[in-house]
Amino acid sequence: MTQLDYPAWLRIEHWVNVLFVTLLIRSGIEILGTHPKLYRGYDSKPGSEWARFTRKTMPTDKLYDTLDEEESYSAIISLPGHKNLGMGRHWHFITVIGWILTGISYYILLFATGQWHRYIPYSWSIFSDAWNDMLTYLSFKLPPLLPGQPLDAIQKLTYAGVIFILAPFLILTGAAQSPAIEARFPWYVRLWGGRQGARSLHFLGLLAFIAFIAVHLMMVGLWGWIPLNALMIFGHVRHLSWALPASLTLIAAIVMVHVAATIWSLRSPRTVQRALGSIISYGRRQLLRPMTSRQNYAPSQLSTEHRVNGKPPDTDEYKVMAVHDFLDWKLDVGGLVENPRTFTLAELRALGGKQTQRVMHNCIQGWSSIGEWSGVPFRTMIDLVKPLPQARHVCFLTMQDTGRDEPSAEGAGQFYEILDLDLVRHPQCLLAYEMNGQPLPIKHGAPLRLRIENQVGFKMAKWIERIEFISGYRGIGEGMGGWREDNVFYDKDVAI
Amino acid sequence: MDAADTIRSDITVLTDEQKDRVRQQLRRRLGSCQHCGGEEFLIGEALFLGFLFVSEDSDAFMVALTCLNPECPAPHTGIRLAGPQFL
Repeated sequence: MTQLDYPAWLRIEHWVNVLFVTLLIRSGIEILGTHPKLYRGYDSKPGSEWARFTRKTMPTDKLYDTLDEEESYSAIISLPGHKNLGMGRHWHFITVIGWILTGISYYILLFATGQWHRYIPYSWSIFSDAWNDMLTYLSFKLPPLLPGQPLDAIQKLTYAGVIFILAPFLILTGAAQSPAIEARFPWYVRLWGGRQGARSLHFLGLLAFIAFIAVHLMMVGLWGWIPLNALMIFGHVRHLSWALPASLTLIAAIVMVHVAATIWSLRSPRTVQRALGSIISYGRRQLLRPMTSRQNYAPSQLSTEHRVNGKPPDTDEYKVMAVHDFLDWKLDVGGLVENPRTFTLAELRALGGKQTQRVMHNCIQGWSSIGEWSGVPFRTMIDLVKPLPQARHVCFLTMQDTGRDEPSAEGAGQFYEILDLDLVRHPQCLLAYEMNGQPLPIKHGAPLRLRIENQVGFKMAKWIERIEFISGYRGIGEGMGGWREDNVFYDKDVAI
Repeated sequence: MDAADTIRSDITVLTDEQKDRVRQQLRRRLGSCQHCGGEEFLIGEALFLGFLFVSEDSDAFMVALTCLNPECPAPHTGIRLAGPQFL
């Protein structure tokens, strides 16, 4: 049998894994803090959470949205802390890419070198051995190692569980929270008990990992910090006088990476957004962009209370339009098109070909709701206005001024979002003027909002007043592809 | 019924009595159309502003007014009232 020693690749991957897992935990807590409540099933009805990590209470006499519910956690536990979801996501996803690549190479090397023997049991007797080991630990003694192996039975089972079950479980439950994957494979969401079920399981996986790390560190301490670190750094129990400083140096280096990532994110978020976002966006476009929504939830699954984000335009002009049922509202569609058009709400309704879809709304903050939306398929609009060949993107401009209307948002100015032309050609891209069989409510974007079902919610502009076909967006706002991209450093392509 | 024919859920439908109270408030305020100066209005339904809009008092409503002057360039307007003033 292969000698179960500590080859260089195993030692390197161990320490790389420490870095990645700790980055994932901190950035994951940042993401959790943006909607610090956990639910079962598919939606996030207020008050139905099974766990909450906030003491905030929301008003009952004023519209609140999920930005108001956001928590600001310390940078000690979250990356980068202080309500920076955009930064947290960039770090989480770039680390996920690194972690998956590390994991794949680890699996390959484990099986190619025979090192899998250290983790995979050969006999059912390992369970009774593990039970005996547990009793031995509880009597404050150390159990024997398995013959010819570096671990005792319970350690072997635990490592196997973490490497072959817990790590893939976290990746799979993370993927179940991607709107593109959910939209393309609704059965996959069902597998995890719904979108919020997947989010809750992902959180429980995080707790399991934290518990594993705590017990792992305790075990290293019990069995001997210096000899075990000598094994994991030098590959053998020699140079013991160097093992302690070497292990502390490695830990300090990992802490320094965290400190650097935190400071970089807080001081220069735009450069983090550009640097990490370019890598992540490329992966997303390749893997997730082709996923077309195939959702069609049953009427019985509609959320009784569909959450909202963003607040309506707080102007007299809008309020007067609203109280007159938007008779004076007009939608301008122009830019790089052959036939610029203007539509009233009645004209949009009269276009015919009304499309209805029952779909899950995924907020970037983590909550979800199921709604039925009806309106004009965006492909119909494309056919009517005929984009010129140089048109590459579509800019949706709204009546909302975020600085005026949304006190919980960082930044100001007219809210707009930009989508690529190939994305808005998806069959469930909709200009919606109805929700759940009724005229679109004001808080959901009346008179007109966008639905694009394989993206997160902030791309679905509400209170739309103008649509412009454009060749590029670097000259619009801060040039990042939308108001939230400009102001809170979200990514433009948000299929996860 | 088609959704186009149903009233948006944000709108409060007013009774004739409530509309009369709105008319009284208009007279008290000497309300006239800001676009043409007309003083005759068709009173429509109400929108509860207090819940939806950040800047509004918790009991604020907007009541739809349509200027009856056929020459008015922008006949759709509204009056902001507190709920107890007309409900």
